[in-house]
Amino acid sequence: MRTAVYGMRAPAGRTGGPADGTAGGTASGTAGGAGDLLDFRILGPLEVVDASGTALDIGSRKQRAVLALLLLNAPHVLPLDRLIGRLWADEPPSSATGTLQAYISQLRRVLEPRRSPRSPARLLRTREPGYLLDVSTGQVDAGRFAAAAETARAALSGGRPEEVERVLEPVLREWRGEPLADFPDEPFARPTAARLIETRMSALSVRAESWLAMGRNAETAVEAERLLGLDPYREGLWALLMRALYRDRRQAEALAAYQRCRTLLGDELGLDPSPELRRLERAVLDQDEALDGPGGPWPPVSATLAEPAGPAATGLLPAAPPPLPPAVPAAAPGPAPIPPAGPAAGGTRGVPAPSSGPGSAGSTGILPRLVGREPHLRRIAERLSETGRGMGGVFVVGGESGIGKTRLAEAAAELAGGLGLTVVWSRCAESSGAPAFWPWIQVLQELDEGDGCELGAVLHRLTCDDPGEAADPDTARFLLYDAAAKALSRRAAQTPVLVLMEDVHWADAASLKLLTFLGGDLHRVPLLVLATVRQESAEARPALTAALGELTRQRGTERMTVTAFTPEQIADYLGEAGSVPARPPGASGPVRAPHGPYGADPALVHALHDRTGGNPFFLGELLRLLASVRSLDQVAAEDVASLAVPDGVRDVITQRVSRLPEDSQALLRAAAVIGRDVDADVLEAASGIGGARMMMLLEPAVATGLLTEVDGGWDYRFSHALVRETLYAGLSRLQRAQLHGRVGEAIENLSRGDVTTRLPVLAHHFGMAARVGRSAKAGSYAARAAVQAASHLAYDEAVALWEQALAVLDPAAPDSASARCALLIELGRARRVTGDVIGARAALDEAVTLATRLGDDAAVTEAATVFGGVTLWNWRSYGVVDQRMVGVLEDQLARQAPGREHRRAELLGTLGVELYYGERREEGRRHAAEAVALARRSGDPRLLARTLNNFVIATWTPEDEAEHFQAAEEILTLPELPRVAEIIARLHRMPRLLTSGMLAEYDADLARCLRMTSEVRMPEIETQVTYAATGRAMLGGDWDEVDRLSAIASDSYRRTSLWGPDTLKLLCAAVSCWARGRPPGELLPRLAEAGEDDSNLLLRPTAVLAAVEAGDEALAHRLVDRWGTAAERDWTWRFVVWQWGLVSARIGRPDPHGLLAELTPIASQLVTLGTGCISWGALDDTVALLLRRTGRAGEALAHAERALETHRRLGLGHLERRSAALVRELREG
Amino acid sequence: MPSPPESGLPTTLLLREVPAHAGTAGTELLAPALAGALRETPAARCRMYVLADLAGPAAAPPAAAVLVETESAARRARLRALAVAPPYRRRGFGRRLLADLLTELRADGVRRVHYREDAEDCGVSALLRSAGFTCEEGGPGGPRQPGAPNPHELRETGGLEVTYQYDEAETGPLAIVWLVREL
Repeated sequence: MRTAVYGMRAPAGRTGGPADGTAGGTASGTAGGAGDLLDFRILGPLEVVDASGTALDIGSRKQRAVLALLLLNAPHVLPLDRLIGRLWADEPPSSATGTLQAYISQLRRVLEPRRSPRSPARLLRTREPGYLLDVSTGQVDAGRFAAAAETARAALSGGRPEEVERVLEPVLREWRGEPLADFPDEPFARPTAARLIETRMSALSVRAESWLAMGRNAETAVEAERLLGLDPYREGLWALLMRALYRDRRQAEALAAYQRCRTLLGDELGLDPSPELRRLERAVLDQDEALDGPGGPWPPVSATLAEPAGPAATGLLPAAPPPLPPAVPAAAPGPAPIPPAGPAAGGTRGVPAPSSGPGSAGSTGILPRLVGREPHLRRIAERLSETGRGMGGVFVVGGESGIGKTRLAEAAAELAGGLGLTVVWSRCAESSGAPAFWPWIQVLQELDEGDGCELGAVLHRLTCDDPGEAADPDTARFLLYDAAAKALSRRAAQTPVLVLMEDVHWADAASLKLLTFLGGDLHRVPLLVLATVRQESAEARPALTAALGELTRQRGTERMTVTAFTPEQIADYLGEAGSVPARPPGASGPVRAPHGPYGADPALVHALHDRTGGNPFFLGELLRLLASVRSLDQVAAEDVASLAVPDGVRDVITQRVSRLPEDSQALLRAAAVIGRDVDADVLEAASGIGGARMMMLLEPAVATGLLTEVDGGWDYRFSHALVRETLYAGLSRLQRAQLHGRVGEAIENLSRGDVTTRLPVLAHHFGMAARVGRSAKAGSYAARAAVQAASHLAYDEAVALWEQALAVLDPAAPDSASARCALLIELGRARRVTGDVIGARAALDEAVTLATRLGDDAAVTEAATVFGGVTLWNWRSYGVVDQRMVGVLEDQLARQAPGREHRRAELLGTLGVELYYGERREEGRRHAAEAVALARRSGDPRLLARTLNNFVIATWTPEDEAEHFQAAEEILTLPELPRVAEIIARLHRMPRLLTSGMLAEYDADLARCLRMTSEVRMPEIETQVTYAATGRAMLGGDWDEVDRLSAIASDSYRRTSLWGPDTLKLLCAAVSCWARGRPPGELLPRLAEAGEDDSNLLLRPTAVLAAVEAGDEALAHRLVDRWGTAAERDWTWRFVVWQWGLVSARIGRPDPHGLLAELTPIASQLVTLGTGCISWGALDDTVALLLRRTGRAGEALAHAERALETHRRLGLGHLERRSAALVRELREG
Repeated sequence: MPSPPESGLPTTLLLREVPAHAGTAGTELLAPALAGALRETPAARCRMYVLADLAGPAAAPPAAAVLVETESAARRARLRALAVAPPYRRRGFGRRLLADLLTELRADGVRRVHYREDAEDCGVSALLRSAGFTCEEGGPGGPRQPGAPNPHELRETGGLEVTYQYDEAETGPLAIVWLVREL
């Protein structure tokens, strides 16, 4: 059994090709098979004899018939539907399948009595689409007989008559009566029996002929007479008799024999003897010498002499037409071009036909054959060969479910194998409680097997509960990702690697982040990740959309969509499917036949296309359904049209399921609740039935291809996600809930007390069963799993699990309020880490309310101070003070017992930030300063970093600029600074670098922030760093970059922050429009509208400026009248006065003198807003414009020249040109 | 009281073997028959199967139950009693249970199932006849066990469930009729 990680089993190893040589419908040989010792006998009543010579009890008549049918068809697969059609034509398929299954079970027990119930059957095997008996010719008496008859015939015609008797004697003794004597009336037995009798007759004739050749003339004559007694119409025997008598010197008797023959034929058949026999009569009369030699122009003694039956090409038995038509075509596209079935170790995993041996695919342009997918394969082949040369990447294959993504991945795997790449499969699990990083855990496990300890170490870190040394979550996550990337790169450096990651739409957020992290570097690593994504699911998951978006921006990432078949491709597909039976056991792909069993009936093709929309999985399932009701070579367009298939593929699956025994259906439904991968132990425990019976009940699902066996036949897997989904969707909510509860309990019991590795899966199942009495377990497992997820650095999963724990909390349970409060705080904290500021605040607000009501001071404080952690901006909307929170914090401060300085510092710092936007800002500044002082005394660098950050925000005013900057600088000197704190501190000191014109230093900080952000990947931080980069591009006049970055920034801002995405985006757009000298156009009404909102104070001057630029001064004045011209002395001040300055210079409002008073002292500085989202040149320009407005042209020129000089010095070309133009204007007066 | 699945929903009923001794949860349906059987036969030869809903509460009583006595050496089994809980009646669950049982016995190598017809109970007989059981006078049951209990009347259980009781009749005026089916 494979190692179980977190209660999940890794998918069956798929590194190689088909797991055994038996794929393709037939079993190859029985080396080591359990059936080696058994002997199957049909030359008489059906009998199976073991090694000791004892006949086995093979059961009732029907059971024997099942065995006989399988034997006659061996070693080919006999389709389940065919078997049922032969023996239970009158019964509904579901009950007949159950009965058949019971017989199969019992037969296995008899044939392999020592097989343990958990090991796969080796003799009577299940192979989609049915069963096969894995026996060799030598194990069947009829097979031995046919072989011996053929040998004897060859000996005789080779002139070695003395060998004939020795060869035939033992096999003739094996005849115990009529072949299959116990099935005299069964249509399936008759042709075989007749054929065997014929073979025996021929063999006896050959033996008699050999006697004649050895001169045993009298014996030959006696034998010929005896044989004629059995079949008097054989002229060959008459000829033999005549020749034997002649050679025995009994010419008269020879001629009399001829007369007897002639009379018999004439009287009974109205025929004359054949010319050959007449020639023989003549020869006897003439005493022809030829009569003494071997051979001659006489009727051959046996048809087999001329035309040997021999062992049939397709079976064990001497049956020229096989007893049943070739089996596999009826199963239609089972292993044909696009099988829906997923991978299954040792199963009938369809592998596309390689057109050439290993090493040649791809590089030589010879591709596996896959209908309709040639362009995809060609591109994949190119990417693979690039990967082999060290340039990997991410290749995303998208498409609707059932469209053949996995199939394409399999073809890619084959190509990669041919190119010498190591191929690794992994699969994301759908909502069945997979642990974080699940797909990567699989990848590392597979690669680790052949590698040293590095991958193992990463694997350990992904799965162990120890968060490692770095307590800072973001650093820890970066280090983990980095370690994974390095280990994988090093592994790929040995041999290039193709990672096939399936169903990425179900990947956990942590795995997606790791994928995007890796993706950035893969273009220079010989590792290609081929990820399959179900399109319709991608839209529903923001984490996935974000990851795909980010991947697409990376070098080396490519997306390709797989689309539905066209009618022409369906025709092609049918042709391929039809050729399947011709595939020899050893070949790995279908041999193309000119026509499949469907021919090229265009009406059929169109009917199938209409019905399935060209979806290959749907097509395959539909053909299987059709095959189960009639032989596919007879299927026509009308059958497709008349089939009671109302709509989609789910209906087809439902119909296929309904053909199974009811108990099998019930069990499959329970299995669907477990997930796509079905742990048989869990299913056994959940269903309360024994393992043997469970296997028996699931057999028909395996035989019909709904389920595949993995792990050496013990565990199962749904052949396609849609099969599981259909079964699951068919259950009512109550049924699902109950079943999830059972499954959860089964897993719990199987874990025997140690559930640490199964927390996510337990949280999942009990969560789904919360409403049916499992809420306590659901909550407890979710909370434990959340803690575990956080320790694995999978923060998004932790958020989801805390949310789940809250959702399942039973409000009626005792202490539910305090439990809820505790969970809300954890949720707030977890959301904060993922950058979900809005969500965090919602949770924490509720926690504060709840804790206040409960009188739980500790909880209130804890909740209230989560936000006081290191943060970039105040966390409220612009200009808002949350008076309630202020009250809570003050209240808590008043109640703090002396000595709890740490908690006090946190509260004071938090309060300092909370008061920032109000009239009590100065008071808040003092609180923050006191917090810093307390932290300094405590000697705790983390507390100091936190309070300094509080202080930085509390002092973000023009007056406190020096202190603000200094505090930010101090943070950067602290030891063990978390990455996020460092980025934030840098973002706070960077504006000062910019306004002072220290652009080199600014750029260095920005570059470091960008690099660290790509490691940390916190959306909140990413947004602001991107904004800073936007501002920097604006300063440099790179407008395309401005547009690009501001779009990215505002997009990610929208997901993370409380206030301003639209405001900032609009501002960026307006300023760049103004800067480029373009008319504001439709921006003007938007600005005017946005300015109406008091929280958008900062864009009012920009709106007025836009009105002026648009030539609508009247509007500009009206807006000024309505809004006033205030400039708040907060983080927006510098930008706002700059904008008002520009307005004033044009329309004289606000008062230019007042603005000059504000701006002149800082005229030599550059402009920036907040942490740099908008940046511009020296304020000297604006001062110059204001001075000109007030008639002080000389001073104006001096400022303009200074601006020109600044811009020239800083290399800001577009600003330099503007300043130069202004200087010219002023000089020209 | 079990609540039967709404019609139209996929069923999640599954045949399960439960220990054949008095007091096994969910076997109240057959309690009297079981008691009778255990007086005549070693417990090891009695098997009880229930049709239980996988998607029902674990403690819910089964939809139907059946009691058989097996003779492994002879590859025979005797069906002693079969009952369907009232809420599940007239919906084919008896037939379903019987089919499941026969499948199970067949998989165990049983070749022949017999049932001693009870003149006062037509329900099970009709079910068996429609499932291919045929009459065999005298039957394979062997010598009668004198003094075997005969609680073959319909029995009221708490006024809620009516339990069929199928058991051997004492030697009476009626001819013994065995219903038999080869598997």
